[in-house]
Amino acid sequence: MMHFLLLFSRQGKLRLQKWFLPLPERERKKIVKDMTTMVLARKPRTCNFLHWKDLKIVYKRYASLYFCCGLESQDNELLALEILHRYVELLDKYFGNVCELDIIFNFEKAYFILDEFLMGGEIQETSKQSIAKSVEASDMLQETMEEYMSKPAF
Amino acid sequence: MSDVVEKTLIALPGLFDSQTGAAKITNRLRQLIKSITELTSKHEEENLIKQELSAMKEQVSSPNTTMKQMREIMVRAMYCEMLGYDATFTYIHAIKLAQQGSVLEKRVGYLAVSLFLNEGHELLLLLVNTVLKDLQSTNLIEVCMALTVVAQVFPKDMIPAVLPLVEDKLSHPKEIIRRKAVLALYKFYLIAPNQVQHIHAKFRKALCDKDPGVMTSSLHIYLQLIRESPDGYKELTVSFVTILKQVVGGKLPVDFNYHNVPAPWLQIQLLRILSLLGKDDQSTSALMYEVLDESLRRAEMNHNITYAILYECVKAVYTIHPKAELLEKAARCIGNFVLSPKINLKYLGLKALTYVVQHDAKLALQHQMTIIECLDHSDFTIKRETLELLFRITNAQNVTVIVEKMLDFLRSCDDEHTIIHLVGKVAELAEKFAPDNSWFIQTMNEVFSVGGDLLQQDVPNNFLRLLAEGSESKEEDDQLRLYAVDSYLTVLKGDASHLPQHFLQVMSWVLGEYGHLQESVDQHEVIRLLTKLLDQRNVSLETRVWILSALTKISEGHTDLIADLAESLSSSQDTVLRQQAHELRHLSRDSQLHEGVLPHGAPWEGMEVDSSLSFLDGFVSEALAAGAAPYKPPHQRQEELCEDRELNLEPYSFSLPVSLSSCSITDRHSPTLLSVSSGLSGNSTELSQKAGSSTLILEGVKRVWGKDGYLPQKETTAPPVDKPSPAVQPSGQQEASERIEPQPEPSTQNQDKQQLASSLFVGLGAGSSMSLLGKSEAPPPRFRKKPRPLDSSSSSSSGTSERSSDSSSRSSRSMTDNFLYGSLLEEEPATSISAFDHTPKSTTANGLAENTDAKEDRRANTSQILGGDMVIVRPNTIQDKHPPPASSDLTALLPADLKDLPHSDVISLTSDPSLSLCSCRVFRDEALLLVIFISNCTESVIKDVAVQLGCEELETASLRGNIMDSLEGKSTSVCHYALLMDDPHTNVSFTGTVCYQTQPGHTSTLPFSGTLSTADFIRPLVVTTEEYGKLWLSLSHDVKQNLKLLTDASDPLRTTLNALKDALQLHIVDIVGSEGIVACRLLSGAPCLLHCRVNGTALAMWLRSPHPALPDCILYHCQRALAQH
Repeated sequence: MMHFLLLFSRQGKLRLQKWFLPLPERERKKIVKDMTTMVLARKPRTCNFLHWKDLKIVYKRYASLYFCCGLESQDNELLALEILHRYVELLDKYFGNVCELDIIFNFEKAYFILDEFLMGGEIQETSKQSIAKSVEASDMLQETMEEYMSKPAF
Repeated sequence: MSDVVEKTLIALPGLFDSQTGAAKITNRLRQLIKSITELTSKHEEENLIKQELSAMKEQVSSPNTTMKQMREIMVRAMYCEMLGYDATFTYIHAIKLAQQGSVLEKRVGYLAVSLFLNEGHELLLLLVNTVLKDLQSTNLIEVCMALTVVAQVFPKDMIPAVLPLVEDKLSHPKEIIRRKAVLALYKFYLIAPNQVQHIHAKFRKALCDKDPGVMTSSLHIYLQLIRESPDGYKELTVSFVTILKQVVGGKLPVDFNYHNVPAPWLQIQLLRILSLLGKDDQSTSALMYEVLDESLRRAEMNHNITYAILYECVKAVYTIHPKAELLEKAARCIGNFVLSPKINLKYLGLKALTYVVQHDAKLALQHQMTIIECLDHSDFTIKRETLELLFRITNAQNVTVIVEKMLDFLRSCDDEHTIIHLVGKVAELAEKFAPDNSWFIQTMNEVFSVGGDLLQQDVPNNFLRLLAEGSESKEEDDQLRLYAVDSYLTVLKGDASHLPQHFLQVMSWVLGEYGHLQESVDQHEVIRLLTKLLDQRNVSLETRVWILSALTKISEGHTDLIADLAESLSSSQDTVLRQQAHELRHLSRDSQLHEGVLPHGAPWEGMEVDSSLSFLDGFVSEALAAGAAPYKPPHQRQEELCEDRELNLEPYSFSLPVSLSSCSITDRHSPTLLSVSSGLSGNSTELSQKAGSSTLILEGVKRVWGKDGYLPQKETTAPPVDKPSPAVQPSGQQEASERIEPQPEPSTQNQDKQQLASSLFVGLGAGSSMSLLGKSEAPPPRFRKKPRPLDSSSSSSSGTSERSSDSSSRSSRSMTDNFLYGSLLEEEPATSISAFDHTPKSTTANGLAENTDAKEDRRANTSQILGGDMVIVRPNTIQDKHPPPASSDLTALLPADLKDLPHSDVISLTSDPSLSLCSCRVFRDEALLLVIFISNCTESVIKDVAVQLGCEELETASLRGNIMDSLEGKSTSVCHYALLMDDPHTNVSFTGTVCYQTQPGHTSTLPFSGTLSTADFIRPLVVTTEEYGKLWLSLSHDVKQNLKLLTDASDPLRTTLNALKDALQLHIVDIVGSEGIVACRLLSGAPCLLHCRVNGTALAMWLRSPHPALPDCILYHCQRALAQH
């Protein structure tokens, strides 16, 4: 089970944080700080895995953005990398050529996509089409709320 | 790999102007973000955000703000929080937005709530109604949002409110809702497994759902369930195998593919489940060989996701019952991982190797060169993983090299978790495999210096215990100690200012205890070095106490050196230090007293510890004569206070969580942590309390004393291990290394590596060549720790009367295990059966003559169950098809030692023309004894009677009489089984067979079966009200339910509780007014506490137990018992 997912920039600025377990505010801040320092200190051509306390940290850099998640010891690191990758693909599909700025300015959208993809720290839906469909279904409300109410959702 | 990367900079200029697609940016947020990126300092950012927050505060409190504006504010608040600023004032508005907004605003509201409010935040309560409303909404999006937020933030105590609605969603027509509902229930299961226990059947429905997504989600729950109790789900193996086959075969819709791999997440989940199911179970494993083979074969594409699947496959293959062919394939897979140029795969290969070498150490040999390369890898993570692997293959021959590598790594490492983790491993290896004394002490010195003050306390503790307890040969021990003393003197003569506190403590203890062993060094010198330490500023208070107590031990005859020191410290601010200084002063003056208190030479022998403090008797009688009140132990005082007070929850509130074992030990007269010096410091317990770790160590020392002085050692030390010489290598290993490394030109570097390889992997080849199908045995450790003296011997010196009465309630889990395989098996052998054949008169005579004493004892022990004169208890839950035969005379055949235990009626199990079987349940404290009477109904002798009994849910052990050579005509024989229940089940059935021969060569089999209920395994738990209170607070799992109250009597509560007590053997702790507290336990294991209150015509029962399922089980039986009443 994934404990948390963080997105931060090369400068260590947090762009998105999702916590799947309840943690006190102080602990969260410590994790964010530790993760950014640890991950940013990694040299090129090293593996994408780290240890932190009893968690496994899996991270990957996409352009200027680092995707980083904390896993339990029995989880599969490669699979987690693919989870990160699928999330990037989902963002890409939604924003069309996603970049860091898309996520900065539309971070709430990034959260909505994540909520359709992961739930309680586990994969909920892996299909790109289905996720795009359910996110778009909610987005549609933006323009034609009334129109929408009269017909069934997805 | 990704076409997404490297676009940011190109996209940057265009983004501010063009808003493409759905990416619309609210203006205020856009402004905010833009201005923040333009700032240059943190200070400016703070100011800007401060302005922003105060503007938002104004806006949210204005009545004119529309929901749409609120939504925009909420997004900004989220942004501020993400930057680390506090926007608490918006939380309540987030909830309001979720409550009142339209769907779109609701979505932002819920998102804000899930980001802002942690589980347990008080504002969450305000959300319950909104969530309830949305769960019942006809709008699917609202339902989805509600389910998401429920899974994200709902704490344990709010689950009951939404549980029924979430449960309903399991049969929702839309699969996305079902999927979310299953995941929400999974989350509930993780935080409160009890509350979803009743929906297990629905989980199974989800597993069979027509939508593969819902099925996948339900596997999360199953993985968890199976991890907890694999035995309960074995029958699902075939289904899981079938599903996996279909997935691997590509039968799922393309939608589930990920980069052309069919449903990888599902595959991995299934592989994990299968490996749990097949572990240590040959027949179940056999079911999955084929599909595992198929998975290994199919996953051939060169993509991360297939490697992820392969990795799980390999793990599964090595976890389940081994099959040579699969192991071979898996090993080849690992080879591909390890040799891969991709660093992530290499890492995973190392992990797989680490896992696998536990089963087959030879695999490491094949990859030794790679492992050595990884050892020098620039990547920290890879290095660490390699060391982990080396740790697993360490043996007596390669320990020096491996430990050296680990220490090298540690010296360059600055991550404290890694240090703590690895240092513990080094210490473990050093203790286990040390080739000689000097190496051991040197290594431990390194451990203490590198580990510093991060070191876990048990490392120094174990080390000191090892030194103190020693092995059999005193000479060897002294050599080790001498070496330690020498080494520490050298260390202390150097610069000691940077040494960690733990190391200083260890050194001062050793010098104090064994300094005298080194005759060539003047004690003056030792004292001088220790005193010098006291002058150092960075030495902590705790360490000072250690140093002082060391000085106390060696001060004899050196009064001149000590006097000043003792004088100056006797006025210390710290009481512990001051007391130590006083002791030091007195002892150094009076050498006779010193000799008596701290003898050296033959340490501790003949040392009497007066734990009853009898030397204070004079003082006490004087005080009593002067009119002081007699001493009452705390529990007595408490009882007197409570006596005339109403039963209330008050005593529950002040205690720390106390485990059952510690609260039932009431041996208050002997402080178990008596320190060496406290014998002299009288009844001051302050030392042992304050100088926390010093007591820990001294505890280790104290263990060597028994009531009769020094406890002799029985075990032998392992034979000294020869140090490996590079010249003598196991030939097989050399072969292996030659085979593996094709070397075009042996450069010097390669030679170095090879040399390293031969020293690292020595001892792996020859010794473990046969271990393909089994674990190789660990070599005997060099320093073997002594078994701790038994509880009884350490506390027997005090000899209190309380002990005997609660000895059974003290027995912990481990004792239960012992009991099954140890003590009962030692009972009289089965040969005495013939004594029971139809001459009851002589039997009783025998029994009485032989067992009178034993019976006395047993009566004392089992008095809890006997509870008066009741001998036959009838838990009324046995469902038996056979009518009870007129077999009451059979109870007479119960062995004498069981006769006085409470037991059930004898019921018939089965019969055929030659044999008839009856059983009787005997309730012992620690187990249920199933006594089976085998009666020969014929006139002729029946030969080779063998009884077999089995039960999946219970641990069974045959005690005696299950195999007989012959059974005389018309006689009855008795056999016993002890049954233990670890996990409560409401009802369990057992099955068994009897094989016998009426004529030679003609074997008949007679099957039998029966049912047992939890009630058979419940025993009263005798505790006082105070103990009950403490225990109550320490228990986590609770269940509440209203039960029927037996209202037909004058005192309904008492009647009801008595009815329950009769049916379930509960112990009624106390009844006051309309409340009653009752306690019981599952055999001698998990306790269960029941708090009952009369509530109108119902009995409100509140159960607590450390075991999640026990309260439900007991509740079930209570309901039944009351219904039948």
